[in-house]
This record gives sequence, C-alpha cells and structure tokens, in this order.
Amino acid sequence: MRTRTLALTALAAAGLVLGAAGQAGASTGGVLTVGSAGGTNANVGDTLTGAINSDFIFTTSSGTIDCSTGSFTAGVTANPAVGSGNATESITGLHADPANCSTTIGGTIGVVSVEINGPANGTVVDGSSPTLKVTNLDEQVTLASFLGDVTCDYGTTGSVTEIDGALSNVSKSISFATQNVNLISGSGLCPSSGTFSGGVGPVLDSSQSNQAVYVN
Amino acid sequence: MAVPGLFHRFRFHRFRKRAAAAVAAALALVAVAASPSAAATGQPSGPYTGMGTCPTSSTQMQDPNQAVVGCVVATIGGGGFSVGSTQVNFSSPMTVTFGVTWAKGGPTVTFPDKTTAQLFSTVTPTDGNELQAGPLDVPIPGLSNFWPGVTSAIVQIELAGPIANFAPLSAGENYPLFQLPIKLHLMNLFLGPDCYVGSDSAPIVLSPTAGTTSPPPPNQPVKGSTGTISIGRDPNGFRPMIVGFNGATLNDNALAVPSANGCGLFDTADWIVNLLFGLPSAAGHNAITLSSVTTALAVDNSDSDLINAINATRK
Repeated sequence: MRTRTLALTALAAAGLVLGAAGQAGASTGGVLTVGSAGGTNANVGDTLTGAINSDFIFTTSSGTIDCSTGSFTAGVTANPAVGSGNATESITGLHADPANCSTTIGGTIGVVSVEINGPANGTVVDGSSPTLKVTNLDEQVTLASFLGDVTCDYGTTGSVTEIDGALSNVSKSISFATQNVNLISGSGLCPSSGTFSGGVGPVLDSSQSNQAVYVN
Repeated sequence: MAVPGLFHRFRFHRFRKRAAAAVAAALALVAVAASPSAAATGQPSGPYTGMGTCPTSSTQMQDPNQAVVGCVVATIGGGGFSVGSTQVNFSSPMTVTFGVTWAKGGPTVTFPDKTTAQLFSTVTPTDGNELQAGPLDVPIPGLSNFWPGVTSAIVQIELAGPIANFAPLSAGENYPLFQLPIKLHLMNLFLGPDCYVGSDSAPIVLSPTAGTTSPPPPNQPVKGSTGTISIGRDPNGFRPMIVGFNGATLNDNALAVPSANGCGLFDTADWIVNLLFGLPSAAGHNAITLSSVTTALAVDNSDSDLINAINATRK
C-alpha cells in the first residue's frame, strides 16, 4: 500500500512537472497575444481569421462596390516581444461574398467575385495607435457587365505603397478608412484608382481555439 | 415616360367604362400609335447619335434568346494600309455601323487577366451600309500619278462578309476588337469594273487590336491604344450601358492579302495587278492602322428597352 501511494505521488509529481513545462512553452510578451492583452502569444504559423464587420466599400470615379459579408485570413509569420520589433502576417484571404455585394459602377450589373490575388504582407505596428500596414496587396474584383465579366486588380502599386488599418483591442477588429488603391491590371474599362474602406473583426486565432487576438 | 402614363389612362378608362370590344381595339391601336417606338421621329441624339439605322427591329435582335443586344457606331478618322511596299493613307473618314447580339451561353474569350469578353455577332443596319468608306487614290508603282484613275487605281474598300466576333471588352488586351472581312475594289480605265483584291469567298480579314500585335516576321509587334474610355448611363433612365472609346488606335499587321481577280477583259490584267502590287502578299508583309477611332456602343439586355431608350432621344 505504501509502495502504491508513493508511486501515485511520483506520477502526480511527474504530471505537475510536465504541466509546468507545458505552460512554460506558451510564452507571453509578444506583440500579438490571444485571449487578452498581455496574454499568451499568438504563435508563428497560427492562422488568424475575421469576418467583415463593416462593409467593404470600394469607391471609384464611376461608382461603388459594397460588400456586407466576407472574411479575412492571415498567417502569423513573426511575433517578437513588445518593443523588439513588429509582428508580421501573410494575408492570404480578403474575400467578399458576391451574393452580398452590390455595384453601382457604370455598366456593371453584378459582382462575380472579390478575392485576394496572391498573399499580401501585413505588419502590425504596436504602440498607442496600433496599425496593420498592408503591402503587396492585389485585390481582384470581377464584375458582370453586358459585355462580359470585367476583372480589375487593385492594390498597392505606383503612388500607393501601403494601406493602413486601425487595430482595436476593444472590438478586436481591423478598420480601413478610405485607403487609396491603384489599378494593378485589368480591362481598359477598369477605373484607374479608387478608395477602400471596411472592417473585419473580431479577429480570432483559429489555431488557438478561436481566441480573440490582441495587439500589445 | 409620359406615354406609358397615357397608356395607363386609356386602360383605366377602358375598364371603368366597360367599353365594347371595338372600342378596346381602337384604344389598343391608339396605344400602339402612341408608343415611343412608333411615335419617334427624327434622328437619335446624345449617346445614341448615329444609331438611327441600328437594326433593333430585326428578327435577330428581337429574338428572345438574345441575352444582350446593342448598337454600334464607329468612325475611323485616319490611318492607312500597306501591301508589300505600297503604302496608302486613308484620305477621308470611314464609318462602321451595325447591331450586335449575344445569346446566353454564347461564345466568350477569357484573357490572362481573367476578364471574360463576350463575342458578339453583328446584324446589318437597316440601310445596309455597314461600312461607309470614301474612295482612295492609290498610285501605281513605277508610274507618276498625274491622272487619277488612269495613272493610279481608285480603290474602294468594300465589305466582303459580316463583321464577326465583336469583343468590346478586348479593348486594351492583345486581342482583336473584331474581325472585318473586306475586299478592295480597284477602279482604273484599263482594269474594268470588276477588278478586286479579295473576294466574298476569300476576303482580306482584318483583325485589328488596340493592344499589341503578334505578326509573323518581318513585321514587328506594334502597340495600339484604347484612347479614352467612358462608361455612361442612359440620360432618360433606361437600362442601356453606354460605352465610348475616343481616339483609339487599332493595328493589324498579320493579315495576308490575296491575288487580284476580275481585272481586265477575261481577267487578263490580273497578273499585271499582281505584279505591280506584289500580290499575293503573305502575312508579315502587310499592315493596316485605324487611327482616331471613335466608337459609341449601347448595349442592353432588352431589345424593347433599347428601342425606347434610342427613341426617347430622337429629335
């Protein structure tokens, strides 16, 4: 009996040690954390997701595209400690649901698709006004018209080097306000530039039980 | 919009008074007479200027299977063509007018940028003048041209078949905007009345693009221009999409030019024409440039709406 008790005690102790070691693996102090500000770090390789919580509105000289539902997807590529650099993301999804999009752009009769065309780079700059700076953005919009489907790619090119989204720990969201974008490629019918507004949130870490993501 | 109102008043009156069938028939006749299409007079104006001969009442355009119908007017302000070493500049504007149709599930072409353009069929305008071009005075190689028509050939560009594969969305792509089969009617005192280069059965097919051409050598790729593109709405609230291309430049330098035919008595002068102009001339040795091209295009998913839209602008 004594031997059995000792064995159980030893197993329990070993379990405690293993548990402590496991907790030590979930580090803290990163620019991006999950669950709470100052909480457990988002890990490199984690997938972050968010739904449109403020309509994606793309405005051009000839009209507007408005999408009310869609999603944002990104992978964490770096998450250094606060004060030692910026967290970075590879943004692989900036999708809008065509069924919930409308267009007033002259000559168009519907929205066929709104998708990111290749990964964009996101840099999370922390501080008093945390910001997601997006570069290498190529958002592909395909619109139906009486002449066929017109595809226009807009993003960061030429005079536009990045678009900025404000990060909020209150709504756990990203908000883009009237960000300039230029035409990257597309039909001659595509307007040459426009502005993009909209928001996604709450941003969740799907690799960590969909806990909300905070910037510190 | 006042006419439908008038029509409704007639209908209301008819139901209220329970008039006899004869009266109803008379009212229907009045309603038809008062409809926009029947009442319209004068030429279309505004964005529909030049579309007075658009064949909107043709069986092709009224076919209920058409998903899109439209009217096109293009003016070619300049440019020219070269066949071998012979260069001819267009000395007067050319006008191209036609209707277009595209049935649901009809042909399309998808470009590398994923734009998918519908390839429209064309319909001859009501006056039959799909292509209007002035005569060109073409010098005969080796002769001093002091007597047009004798020391030169007067060349009339004529249509040799329907314009095909009209693809407005190809503007800016390296793809032909349309395919235009033509024949050159050569008029000269010694060539007789039926001297042609190209024919209805073997036309010169122009495939001009506002993008960059891909000719066989020795010609080199040349880049065109879409000019200024505008997209507008109908001024009276109808549905047509109105697209304008102003100042475009289209090129085709991959066309082949066949031999002459019908020249001289019993075609005895064909060989002379062939010799003088180097015919037949293989692809890569010829070119055509259409410059200062202004195109107005109105398309709609309803022929009746298009008719009403055009008629509402008639003056």
